[in-house]
Amino acid sequence: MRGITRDTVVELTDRKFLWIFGAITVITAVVIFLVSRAQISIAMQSGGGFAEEDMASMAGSVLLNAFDYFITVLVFLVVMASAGLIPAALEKGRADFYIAKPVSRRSLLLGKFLGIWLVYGAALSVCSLFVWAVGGLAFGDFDPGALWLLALGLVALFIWLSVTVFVGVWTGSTAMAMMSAIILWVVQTILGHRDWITILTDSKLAVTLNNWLYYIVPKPSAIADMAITLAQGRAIHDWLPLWSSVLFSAVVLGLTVAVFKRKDY
Amino acid sequence: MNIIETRDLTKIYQTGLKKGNVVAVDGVSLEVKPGEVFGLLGPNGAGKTTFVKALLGVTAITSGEALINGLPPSDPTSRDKVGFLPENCRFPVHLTGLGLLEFSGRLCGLKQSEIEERAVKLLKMVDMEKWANTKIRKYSKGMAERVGLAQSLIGDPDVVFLDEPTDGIDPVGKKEIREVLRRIREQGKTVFLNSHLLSEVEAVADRVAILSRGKLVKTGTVESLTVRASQYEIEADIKNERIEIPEEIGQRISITAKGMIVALNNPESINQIIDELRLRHISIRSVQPMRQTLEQSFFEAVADETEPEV
Repeated sequence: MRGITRDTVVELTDRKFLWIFGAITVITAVVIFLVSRAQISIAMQSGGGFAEEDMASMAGSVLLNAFDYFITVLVFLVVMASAGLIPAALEKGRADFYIAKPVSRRSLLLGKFLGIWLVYGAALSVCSLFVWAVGGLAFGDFDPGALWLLALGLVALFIWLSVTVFVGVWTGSTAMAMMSAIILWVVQTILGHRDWITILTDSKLAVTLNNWLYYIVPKPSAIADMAITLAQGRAIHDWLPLWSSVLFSAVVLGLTVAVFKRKDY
Repeated sequence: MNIIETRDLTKIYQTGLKKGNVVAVDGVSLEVKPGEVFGLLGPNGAGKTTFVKALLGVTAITSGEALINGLPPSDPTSRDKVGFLPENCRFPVHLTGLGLLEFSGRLCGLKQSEIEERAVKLLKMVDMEKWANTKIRKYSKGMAERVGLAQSLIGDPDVVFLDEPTDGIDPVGKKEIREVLRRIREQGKTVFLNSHLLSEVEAVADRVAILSRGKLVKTGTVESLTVRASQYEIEADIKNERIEIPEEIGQRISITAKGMIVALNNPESINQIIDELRLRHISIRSVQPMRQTLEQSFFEAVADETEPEV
């Protein structure tokens, strides 16, 4: 398994995609720096109109939201960029090469999955820490709570990847893998408003279905909300979105291995 | 013990409700002994690649049995000592030639020191040491095949499967690959060569099997497949002698510049012909069974299996 993980690391670091990560990181850092200058300028013009705590709170909020958007964009880009990796590895002439080695199919698949998550997770971490450090320097506030966004961003990445890898193995199609990520995003967004659905419909069946789907379908957006709550130092009352999503990914990964074991190449 | 053994190996692809099932390999039983160069011949679509894939666990067996080194393909350890060069191989293009060998070595569970030592030797053997650090995406087809051959040998396999190794390669490339095959053979490794290029197989194989429409139609040594059992060429000074052969023995097929060709009902009847020629004081220089090329044997075997199209 280490062999395939290592090869995936080599493959991904060879791609130019990581430069896009770098470019987005630099742009975000510059924007954060400019925003901090603008904030100082507003504070000076107001002639002390804002209390120091208000300014600090506003700065923290701006920084946290910027950091949240930054991580969300990077996770989205990774999901799209990595959707084709599994179908490409399983194309004719290449799948035979991997499978004919004395390695189990489970190790091949999980090794590849782990390689993708490790490389992009590391890139996400490095870029996020850089942006966090720039934000800390610019606003004079190194808030360790903001790192919850990174930690749960890595979990969200794991969840998205489990879905795209499953569809990639099942269909062998990059387009289908990408579409599955988009469909999941739409469904989990709708399910995120399940309270509204409960109010809007009288159908018991619809409500029950809505609730069941909410428990089953992974909820990366709800996880992002949890990360914001944790970053703001508030307590989480319901960990369900996190553990049910992780459980979903584990089941999907197991299913992916089962499908991969049965497939002819 | 046979290094490769199949019994009634069958692979059926389910292609959907309308198209029905496709029988790619139909009850094939064959054995390959250690150190043999075995050629599997057949026209395109005969089931050769499917057969190899079934042996290597790339595709699942529908029924029957396959064993490599006594282990079934479902057991990854059956491939511990197996090398494979797939047809139209698409190796990871982000790797260099050396990188591909290192990667293959790691997948075979080798230590880094072993990999480095073997990779250098193998790249030299396939004459690719100059291009070891060039990315595979820049290789020609012939270069990719040669480095592919090297990767198939990195685990020091007992048996190497080569699926159409010279397909799409120019004559110079083919010659180079034949040379590599000769070296592999010298190392005492078993080679399972899958090809529709008859001359390639005839040049290197000890034994051959012919597959047609998924069925094994002939198997044997190259010699046994190329001998016409009942025909002999007699080199003798026949000149204008009128030689009649009784019907119960056989018939004379033709008179040639060197002598004549006869077809016999029973191979032992050749002695009667020789006796007759000696009685007439005709000098006999040689008597040889008539041979056909592997190509002729192949077409005969395949023609028997071909059904008229509806």
